[in-house]
Amino acid sequence: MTQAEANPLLRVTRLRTSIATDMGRMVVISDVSFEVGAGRTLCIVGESGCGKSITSLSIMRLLPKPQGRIEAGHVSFLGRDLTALSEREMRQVRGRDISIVFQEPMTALNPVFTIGSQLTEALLAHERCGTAQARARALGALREVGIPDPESRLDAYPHQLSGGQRQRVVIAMALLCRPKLLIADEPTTALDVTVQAQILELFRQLRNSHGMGLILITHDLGVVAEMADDVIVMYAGRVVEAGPVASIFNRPQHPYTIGLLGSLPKVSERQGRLPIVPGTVPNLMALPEGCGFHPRCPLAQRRCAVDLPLLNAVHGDHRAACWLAPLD
Amino acid sequence: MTQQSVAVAAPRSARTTPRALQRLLKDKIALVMLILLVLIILGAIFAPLLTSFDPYRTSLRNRNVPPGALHLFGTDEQGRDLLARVLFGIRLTLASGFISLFLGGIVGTAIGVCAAYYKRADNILMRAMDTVLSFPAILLGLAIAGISGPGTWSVILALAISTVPPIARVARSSALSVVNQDYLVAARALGLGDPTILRRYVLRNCAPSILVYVTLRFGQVILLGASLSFLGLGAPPPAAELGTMVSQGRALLFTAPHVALVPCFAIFIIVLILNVLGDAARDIFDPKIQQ
Amino acid sequence: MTGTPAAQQPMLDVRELVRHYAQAGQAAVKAVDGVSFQIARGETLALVGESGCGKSTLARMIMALDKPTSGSVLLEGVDLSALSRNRLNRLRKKFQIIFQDPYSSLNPRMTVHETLAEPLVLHQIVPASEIPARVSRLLSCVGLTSAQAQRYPHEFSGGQRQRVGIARALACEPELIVCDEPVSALDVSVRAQVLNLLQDLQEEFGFSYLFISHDLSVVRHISHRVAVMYLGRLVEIGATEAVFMHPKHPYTRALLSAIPIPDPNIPPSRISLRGELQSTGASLAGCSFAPRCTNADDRCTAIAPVLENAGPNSRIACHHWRNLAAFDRGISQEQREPPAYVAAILARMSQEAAKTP
Repeated sequence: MTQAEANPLLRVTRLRTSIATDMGRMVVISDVSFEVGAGRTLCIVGESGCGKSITSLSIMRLLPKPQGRIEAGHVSFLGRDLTALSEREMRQVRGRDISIVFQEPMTALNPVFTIGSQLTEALLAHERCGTAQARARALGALREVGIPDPESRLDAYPHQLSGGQRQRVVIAMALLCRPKLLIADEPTTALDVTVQAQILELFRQLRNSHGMGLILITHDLGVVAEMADDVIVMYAGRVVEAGPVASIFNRPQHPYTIGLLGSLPKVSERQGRLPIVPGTVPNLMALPEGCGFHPRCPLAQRRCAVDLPLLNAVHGDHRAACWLAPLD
Repeated sequence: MTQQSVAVAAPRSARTTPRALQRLLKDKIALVMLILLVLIILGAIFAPLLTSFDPYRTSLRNRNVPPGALHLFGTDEQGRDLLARVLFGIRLTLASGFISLFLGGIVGTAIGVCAAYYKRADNILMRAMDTVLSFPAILLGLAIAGISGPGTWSVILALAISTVPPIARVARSSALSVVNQDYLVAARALGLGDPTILRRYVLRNCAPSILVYVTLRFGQVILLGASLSFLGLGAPPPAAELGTMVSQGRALLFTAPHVALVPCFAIFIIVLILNVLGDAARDIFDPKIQQ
Repeated sequence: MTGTPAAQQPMLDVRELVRHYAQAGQAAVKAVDGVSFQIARGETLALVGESGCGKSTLARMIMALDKPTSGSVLLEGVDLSALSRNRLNRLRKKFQIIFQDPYSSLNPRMTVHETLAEPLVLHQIVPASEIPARVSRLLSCVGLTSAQAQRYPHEFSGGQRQRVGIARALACEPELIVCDEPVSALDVSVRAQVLNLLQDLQEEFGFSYLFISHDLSVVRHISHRVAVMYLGRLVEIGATEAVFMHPKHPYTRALLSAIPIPDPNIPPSRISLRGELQSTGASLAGCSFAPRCTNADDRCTAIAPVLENAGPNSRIACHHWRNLAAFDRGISQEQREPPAYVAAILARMSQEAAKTP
């Protein structure tokens, strides 16, 4: 974190986004702040509907139109406020400076064009270079992500590749213009574990060799433990805990994080019953007063139902949004 | 087979109705069209109460009277009141359209659903549908009229046969998406018999998309029915039938244009309303638009 | 449910099951290629493997939804493929299935009551007058309330739907339940609830589970034995503890090494495989894993290894398992005891959760 503070690649400050629904406007994330430094990995963790994907879409300004809207806050990328850019300027940023990879590799590729033409198209859109040069770079990119026999793959169509290879092509495309920041939204959820291991390894290499910043959005805490430098835990649209990965896993400071980590089955032993978090995730349209987690929290006090706790430092860089923190 | 098909006309389950109603209320144009359609249908049903004129009574003194206070839409070349004739004509047109759609819908749905569920029958059934589809409806109508003579039932039969293949196709594609769902596997794993699975699982889930298609199809069927009557395949001349009326008025297009234009306009309005409603129905029931 | 452990007969006996799919102009796809195993009463056998290994085809054949090319599935000694359609349908109440996707496993146009009453009526589990009472009992079994019986599936969350799916499987009082990735579509906290539920039900009713999953931590948690499948064949089968702590087959090792462990203190230690997963289409003379195995030699590509006993309750299909160096994923280093304050909070959460279903 100290490294990131000195030279933050991306700084998100008090971001607040809403989506229009049939029942009116719904604030889906609020008060989300974090930083990502060059060569660092930030993992955003949370269950479905907690706002982790909306956060990434807000950064990229790819919210569904016209329903989605950034209400407040700033996204500062190398000192430039992305929320203030025109759509045209933003298009320049996307793909060249920041790239995004989604969960489903098939939808990110156009089925009627070859892999090669899709890769070179992305290059030609952002950089001045000849077709031959673009093709050479596309080939290099495929080789880099470990696709076997890249020459023949350039002329293949997406459906001719396996799921893992398609995801690698998508990643190759995202990395083509050497972005300074890669946002990967559940990049390996649809893949098998052995393929997932290969892709995570690829991310690690790219981060180390190019100093690329990485935001990894995932619900798999195993992936988080393995990849993250820093972690933010989101619940009902807010960041409830943030800090270095070891600190979060070893001494979690928010009851929700504790429940989340505790309910994971262990690989090392067969437990009896798994600990579980009572209740269910609240509806964003009807969030409880005070702390969003208090109806499910065994430690909740009267204050928790009235005042919203803010993210406060607990130990060093480790911050938690809980009135009772530090819990240990 | 009949047992399954009846469910096509069964009301949509409680699940979609309230939300469907909400959506309909939001779509102002569709709402206006729906009210208009209801008014037209009521007008057709209660035609004898709305006009004191007999649609079949000729009056040679009042031939080709232009629209005016007494005869709101004027009279035709035999002095019959056009408003009365149009109202009775709409009655006949809507009824024959509805009956043929209903018959075609039942048969088409049964064929489409069976084709999707019984993979072995798929090829035979759908190729048969392609064969039927390759005959233009007009040709089909001519053939049927040639066999059984012109008349309303010939038109209905031709219309019904021509609606079977497209409905079978829609039913098949929507049933295919159901057949691959886990709940169908679960139903088979429970040991349920095919009739129950078809009725309770496949048909219940396909019904909305088939109904939407049927609504979209209604306008075309009316238009096709009118064309067949125009060609003289429908009810013979004295009958008040919109297509027949246009055909008869055609001779007077320059001397008394209203005789042909009034029934034309009635067809136009009805088809327009049905098309708009069909589009609205698709928006309301389309599962992709529903979240 | 009789509770007499005297019965030596296994609940499920799968013998040399083969399923080939004919392909126009090509060699047949061997989706399942000679799989045998047994499941005892009250036992959970986990079936692990990556997509395309034939797990789902195997499950369909066990559920008698797909006919095997050869081999047989015996349920309490009765060969399912030898039964007439009617007798099979009557026997189906004894084996049920739970699906992965809670969004497609329930008929969206049937209320929960209709969904649960259907098997009760079909298999005449209870007289008609007792159906509402039985439906509410089923619902309370899976942690739902009888007030929710009149709702449609779309009114429930994913976890609740999965509970309804489980209740449907329970309704006809089965003895074997095939769980096809029952928790992989669920969020972490909901997953724990459903896993607990499955375990409680097994304790209460003595079900046998065939638990298909690719999530090894879930498998570790719920199963007594594990079978690892690769390209249509079993490569290793054994007691869960033994397979996780001392995996012998190179593929099992690679698979175990690939799972990210949710503990940042354990560094990843990967066994990299060569090449890509092939499709089942290419039929190999030798071991199907040989093209990707770093230990493979001429013998592996020439002769297919068969499952051989490798200790009590453990069988391996590999020519070289005796010669491979010991493998340790570092699983045993996983932090077992959370800090005291964490344990206390977790205990209070579970207490609260038990109070409010």
